[in-house]
Amino acid sequence: MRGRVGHVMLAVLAGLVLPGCAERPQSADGTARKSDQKAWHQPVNKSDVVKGWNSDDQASWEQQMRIRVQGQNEYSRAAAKP
Amino acid sequence: MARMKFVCDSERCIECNGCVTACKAEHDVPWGVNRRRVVTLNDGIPGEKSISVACMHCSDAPCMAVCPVDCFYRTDEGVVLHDKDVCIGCGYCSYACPFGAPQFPTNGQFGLRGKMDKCTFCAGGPEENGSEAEFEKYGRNRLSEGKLPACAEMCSTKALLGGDGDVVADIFRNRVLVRGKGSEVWGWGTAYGKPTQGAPSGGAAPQPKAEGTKS
Amino acid sequence: MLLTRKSSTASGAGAHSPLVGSLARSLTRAIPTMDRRAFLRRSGLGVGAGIATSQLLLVKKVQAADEAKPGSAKKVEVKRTVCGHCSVGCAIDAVVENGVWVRQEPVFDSPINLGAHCAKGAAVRENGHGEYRLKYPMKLVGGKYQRISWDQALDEISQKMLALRKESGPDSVFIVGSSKHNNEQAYLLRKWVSFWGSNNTDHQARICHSTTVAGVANTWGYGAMTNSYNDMQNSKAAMYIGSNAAEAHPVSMLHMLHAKENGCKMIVVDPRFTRTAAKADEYVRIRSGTDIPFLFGVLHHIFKNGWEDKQYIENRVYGMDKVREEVLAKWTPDKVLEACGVDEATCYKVAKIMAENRPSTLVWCMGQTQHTIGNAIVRASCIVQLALGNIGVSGGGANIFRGHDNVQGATDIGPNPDSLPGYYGLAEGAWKLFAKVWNVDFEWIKKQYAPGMMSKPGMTVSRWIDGVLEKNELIDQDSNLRGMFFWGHAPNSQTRGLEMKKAMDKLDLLVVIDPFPSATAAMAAMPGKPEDQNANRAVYLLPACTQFETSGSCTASNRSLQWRERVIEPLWESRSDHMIMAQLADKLGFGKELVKNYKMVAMKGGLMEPEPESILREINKCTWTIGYTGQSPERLKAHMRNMNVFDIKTLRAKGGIDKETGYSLDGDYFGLPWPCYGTPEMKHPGSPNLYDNSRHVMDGGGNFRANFGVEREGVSLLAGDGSHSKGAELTTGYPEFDHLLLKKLGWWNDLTEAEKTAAEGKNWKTDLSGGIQRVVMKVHGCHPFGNAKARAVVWNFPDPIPLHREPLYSNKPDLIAKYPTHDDKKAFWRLPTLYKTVQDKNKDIGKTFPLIMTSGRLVEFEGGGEETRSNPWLAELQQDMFVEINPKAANDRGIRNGEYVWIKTPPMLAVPEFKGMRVKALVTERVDAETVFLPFHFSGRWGGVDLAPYYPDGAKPVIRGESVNTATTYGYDSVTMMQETKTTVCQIEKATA
Repeated sequence: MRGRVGHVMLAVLAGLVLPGCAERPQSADGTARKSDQKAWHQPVNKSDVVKGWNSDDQASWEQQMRIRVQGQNEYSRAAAKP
Repeated sequence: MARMKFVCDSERCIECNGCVTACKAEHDVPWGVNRRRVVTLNDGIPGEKSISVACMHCSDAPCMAVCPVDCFYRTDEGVVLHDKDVCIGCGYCSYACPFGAPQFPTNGQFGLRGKMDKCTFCAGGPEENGSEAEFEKYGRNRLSEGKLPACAEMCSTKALLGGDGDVVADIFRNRVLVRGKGSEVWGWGTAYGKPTQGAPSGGAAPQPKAEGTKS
Repeated sequence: MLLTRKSSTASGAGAHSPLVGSLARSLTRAIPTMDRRAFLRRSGLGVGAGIATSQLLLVKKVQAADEAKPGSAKKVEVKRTVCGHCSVGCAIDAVVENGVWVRQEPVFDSPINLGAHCAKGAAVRENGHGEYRLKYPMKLVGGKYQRISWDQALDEISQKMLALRKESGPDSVFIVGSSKHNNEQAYLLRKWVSFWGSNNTDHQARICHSTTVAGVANTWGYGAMTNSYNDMQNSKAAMYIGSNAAEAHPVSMLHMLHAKENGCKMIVVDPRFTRTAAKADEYVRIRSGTDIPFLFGVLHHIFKNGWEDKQYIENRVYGMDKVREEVLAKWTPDKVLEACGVDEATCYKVAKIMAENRPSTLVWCMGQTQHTIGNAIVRASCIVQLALGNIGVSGGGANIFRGHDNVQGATDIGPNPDSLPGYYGLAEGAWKLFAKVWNVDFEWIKKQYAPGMMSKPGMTVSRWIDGVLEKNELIDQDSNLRGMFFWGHAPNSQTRGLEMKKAMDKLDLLVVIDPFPSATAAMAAMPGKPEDQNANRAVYLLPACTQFETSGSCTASNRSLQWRERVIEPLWESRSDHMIMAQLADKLGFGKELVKNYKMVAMKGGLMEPEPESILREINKCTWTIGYTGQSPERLKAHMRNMNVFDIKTLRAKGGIDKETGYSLDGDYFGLPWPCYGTPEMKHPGSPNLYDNSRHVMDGGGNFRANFGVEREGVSLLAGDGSHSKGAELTTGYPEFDHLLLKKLGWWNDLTEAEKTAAEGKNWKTDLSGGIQRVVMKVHGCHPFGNAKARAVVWNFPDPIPLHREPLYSNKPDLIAKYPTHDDKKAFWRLPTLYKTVQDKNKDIGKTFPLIMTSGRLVEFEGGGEETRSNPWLAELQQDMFVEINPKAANDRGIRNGEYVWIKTPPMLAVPEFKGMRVKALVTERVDAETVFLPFHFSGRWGGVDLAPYYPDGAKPVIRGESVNTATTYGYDSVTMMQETKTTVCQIEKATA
């Protein structure tokens, strides 16, 4: 029993140590970068999300962006003088 | 498809730094790191002009081109982000960036904001949207909440505009038409084509419309 | 081994894009005029060490709050509040997660700021951290601040006060209140001081806009901004004179730049080429303190060219003929040029722009007010606007930008030494009215006062040091001041700092109640001269809440009231100001009387405090003079919930029904800008633009106030025939309304029986039922305060027609001879006040101190600056105190950009051990060669020494610097005791060590 545990330990150790000996890819062709979620994927915590669009629905998100940006445009509330 | 852009209207920017502190507060950006800053030309003399500068989320981003570990990526909506777990903090991006956007925290708080920190267009980074991990490494992810960058949304005079490039262009164009000047804002020609009227005051000739500016 | 780059991204990376080239060129060009920020950022990079750690802890704090409730979902609430810095009144949505303020969101719906913020507004969330705040009560023991309990603090303070009262009377204690208190707290403090038995109380308005309030109210009725920030969108020309709005009121520029985009011509007149000037079409540089010569120089051209509005003047202005005579004779172009340095062509151009682009507005701030002749300067501005017919007109007006979030409210209903709330004054009749509202016996209040002192205006905050230091036989009260409360007020905002240290040391009792009491604390704790030190002095620091930890209303500069919801629970051991008032009142023996009309509510830890809503309801019952009566808490809250229905140009609601209460918002102006007359039920919509006779009084219209009698030397003071507010039954001028006039007109029977009982023997200000106001306005369309002319000649002021007088410290002896100051005054606000003596003694001071020293605001900081300098997000942006000096003045002194210099001023001659102010030189052409500029927000350095060791532990602001008030000189306005901060003299030398 003890011997088997020892074998398993060894195997685990080997698994941990050995990859360190291998040469890492040196070119950046295969990037280590993680992939990101889409911007239109809403966070789990919905309390921060502005209502009016649906998660993972790119079109509704883009529409929301177009509405939201009008907050930066006071002309959308005060028309220019004629 | 929306392509996110910032534009700063120097006719309106009053150098109040609202954008700077909005960014700091929203993302808990540490002291000494300036994702956004206000640059003033001709300070104190007639002709004084200010603009707010951060990462411009270039369509052909030099930082991305030179990064030795390829930690940068561009999202579908045109935001340039980077993976802090891959970044080695070499500073080559800073060398390449014309705007001084990449920041290198000097306080020795390793892990606080990674080796290099920059404006994310309030779009977080390659972690789960709105997660604690994303917040600690990159800050808030306003885009995934249906909001736009805090700096532009809180700009005191609405000089700094940020959002879908086409709509931002419309907002700005309307102002230029109303007041009859001001299209000489930096980057305007490059990003959105020929100025509506008048020549840029900076002395540079009007720029031809760059490729790939509209998606 | 080489790292290889992905080939696909290589193309084009090497070649500079044209954009890059253009930016690079621009940046190269920028170097010779390095901006303030780049210049200052250099030195202070190390200051922030340690800050990052604390910010990391904050993130953890939120997590900790989460972990406290395992399994429970995050409780997220959004609270609507208002920025606590300047007077624009920017709304903020605070996101609170499990009791922690985690984010702030822009309120695009706000008609005032449309989501916009300056650096301060965008950084207010730091108030929810409060890391550099005073955390618990402290007492100065052996030169060090020690923590004590609230009970001990309140016991000891009240015992000391009662002892002082016994020995020296209630007037021996001075209570400086605050423009940062909300309306309810400011009002309660005036009541509190009255029950204590003294008029020795004041607040920031004294040193900010007191000259405006007095000057403007005496010209046409009310002492306030006539129009609004929003209304400036309707202006066709705007002249800023003595205002640097781009730094002091940044969000107001949203409206101005919008107007400018639509053709409004913008003129900035200032001794300094400010950031506001950088946005102007026309910049005019004047010598500091010479606003009257310039304004009358402009007026000269207006009269000469017949550009004045003759019909308007005929109907609505008294005394313009006399002004015209004086201006045409006296302020000829040569005299104007000599006095203020502006030539004829420029004055003509400004006059032409203002005349040809009406409605034109005029904006001013501290640049006009903080002078020995402040009251006259602001009246000169009023006169220009009256001549052009610009007052009472949308797009015109005197747009007077106030400084603090609630300085207007504190002025209207707060702790003023010369008036009860609502400008009722201190006459016996006023006291009786308030005794009735407060439900206490008039005789009881009277007994609280020292005999004869109840109706005598108190001292002012600008002079409290003289109340301590002046010879007892020269002051107009029994005892000198022995106790001092700084209840939300910085010490470094008052002039003559060197003498203030002396006064602080001589006190018996110093109490500082503030979230950030540290400037006063450090100044009190640092060693002074042994001979000044009162061995029995007791110093206490009490942590007050910020406005984000309580609720209540605040009045923006445009007179709109906004209700703040409580964002978070009080931080640390802090308590709300009104709670502290109630608790101290209990100990002092008038607790029951103070709160008897209020509902008491339990706060954190079960501590009771008066409910702000019920205080506001009491305010509604007694402030008929200025129309703080219609703004019930319910109406204000409905406005806050439905900001989107208000138009941003007119501030008026188009339709809209509040879901929660069913209240119809239609027709209301946002925040019910005062005057909002009558009871809330009368539904007056508020007054967006004062004195606007193109609207019906029930639509917010009005006319000039009949407050100065009906005739003067045979000339009628009432408005001309046909000049009246729209729809008024009386179509000519008329006096203010009282029961007699109602009866005479046959309107008495329009009152209900109950109203008749209340109104009998009363006038529109003293009828507590509001019946007179209702009948006059709603039934007959008239104005309760009458319909009169504005006064171009204010005969009850020292200079009825504004007169230029040189500052007490001037570097122009020839002009002192031509424009000498006032004679000395013997007992003025209880104190002897010097003018001529000081000026004569110093007429050649320019030989030793040749530079004109002026001061002003920076966008990142506010007021005395402790609060904002304790905010790392702001502190990082301005890390050093500095002086702006012209290249010529700098070169003559061998000073280079960025070097340290010593600034010396006349008061320092008397204190040889004080070496001067050690600050950095910012060499810039913003100022001319004979002027230097200093920001006034710094404190914590004293004559080159860091006061860090004297701050209470953990309550030290991130950034400290020399305080400009150690350099400022003697000099006070001849009406209001406003201090002179804008024009004095100094010398600058390079610091060698």
